[in-house]
Amino acid sequence: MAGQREERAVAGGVREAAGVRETGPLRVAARDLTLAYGDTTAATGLTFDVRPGEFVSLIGPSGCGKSSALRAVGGLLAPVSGDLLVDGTPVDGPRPRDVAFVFQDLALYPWRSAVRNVEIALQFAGVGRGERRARALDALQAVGLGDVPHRFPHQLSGGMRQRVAIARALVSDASILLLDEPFAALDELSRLKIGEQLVTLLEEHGKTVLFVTHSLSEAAYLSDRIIVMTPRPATIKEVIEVPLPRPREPQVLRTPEFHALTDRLSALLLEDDPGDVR
Amino acid sequence: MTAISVRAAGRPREAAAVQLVRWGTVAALVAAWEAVTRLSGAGGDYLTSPSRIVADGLPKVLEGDSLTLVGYTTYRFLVAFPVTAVAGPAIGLLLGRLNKHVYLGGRDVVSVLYALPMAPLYPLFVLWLGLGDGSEIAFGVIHGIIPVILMTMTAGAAVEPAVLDSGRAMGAGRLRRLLFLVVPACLPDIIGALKIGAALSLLGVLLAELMISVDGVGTFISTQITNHGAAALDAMVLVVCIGALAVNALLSAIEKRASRGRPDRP
Repeated sequence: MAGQREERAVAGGVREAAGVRETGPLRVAARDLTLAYGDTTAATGLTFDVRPGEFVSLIGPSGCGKSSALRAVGGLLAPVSGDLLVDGTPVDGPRPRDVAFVFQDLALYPWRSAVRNVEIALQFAGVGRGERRARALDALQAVGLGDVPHRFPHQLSGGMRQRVAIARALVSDASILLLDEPFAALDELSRLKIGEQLVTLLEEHGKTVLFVTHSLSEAAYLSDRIIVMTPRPATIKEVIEVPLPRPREPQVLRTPEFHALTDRLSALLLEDDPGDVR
Repeated sequence: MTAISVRAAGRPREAAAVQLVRWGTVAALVAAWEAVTRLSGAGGDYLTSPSRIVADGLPKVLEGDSLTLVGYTTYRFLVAFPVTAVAGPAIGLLLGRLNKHVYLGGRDVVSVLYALPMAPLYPLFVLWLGLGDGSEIAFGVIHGIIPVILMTMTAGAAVEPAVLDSGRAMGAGRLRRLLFLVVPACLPDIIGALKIGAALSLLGVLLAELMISVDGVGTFISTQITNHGAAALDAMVLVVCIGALAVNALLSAIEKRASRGRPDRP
């Protein structure tokens, strides 16, 4: 998987006017999606793909509809119009067997210990008590929390809580992970470190990731492709293929290619910035 | 349990200091009460001292006939409170979670009901349900259930959307989200509401017995007021208070267990 990514990245640097590349099977295919909350249109004309094993980031101004796009893919927000397919099937609601979600504030349940927070995903899936405990402990082990399964969320650091949320997403064996700013509460360095560990872990598990972030460096460091969105109602402004080889080490942050990429992302976002942040 | 008491409980000296203040305050109040009644010469029919309540009043309360009256009231409370404890949170969470309009409209209606004085309505209960257990239990329920509904519907409506969205994303339907996410998320609030509901259910039963009844603690109190039996009256109030405190202690223990693992509330 890492080899495939590297190959793609070496051949990369391709910029596309739309997020579509009609090759191979697609995990997610969105065509001309319009998303709305009541009378307020969140996004319109969204067309993008996510290929198997890809790490795709959505970036854009605050409130532009990135999270709405993620919720639509997760089956939590029905599109007003357009087509949305996951593994070739139209999305008509949450599909926990195929898609797992990590929310911006992690949505851990404070009354449940770490292992029971992870277990609940399997409980809702109808997995028996013994099996779900074993699988939850394995998932916690995989994210490096094998030694604190019985601690409650408020007894864990921000990074540990984030790992519990990742473990809950991993435990269900869903092939697609939707991550909505899962590292927002962490400092920049921690989010890059944990992000890289996450990418490695997800590669090992063969996951496809759709990732929402505000951090340009995080998007550049972690992604295979970056979808840049305009202000609300969001459209896709540009899709950028990340030209950085994998595996990525922190040293990549100091390379000219990385700076060029973040400069490009920044320029794209500034083009639409009204300049009166309040 | 407050943050201070939780932290204090972790340090023996501070915990001992908290206990000293708690029980010292009670002892000081009782001592002041005893001193005022003795020094002022008041006493007898209208105001009596703690020592007389224990020496003269308690034996009258603990004799057979009086205990039977306590039994009637206890039975009525033990029917009224479980109804309040089950129906109150069920109705409250339903109103809180069904949809925004039901919550906002329902909250207004329940708030108005909460503000109404219930006592004048009791004769209606007697007309509908007759004199006796039925009307007294129903009045106990209605007295306790309204604040429980109000508090639990507010708690239900305040459950973080992310908690429910995460449940949906994991495939939980409405019922499972209610049982596995909403109820546990609201549990400390539910138990807090039940502590108030228990006191008010008991108050409802006692009020009913005081107003129109032929038995129960309320009738005993009413009789002692008529007969100027201050010591027996105060002793019965003491027994009622001990019973109410026992229920409160039980609910506090459940609340403590339900709050296990949760961060301290401010």
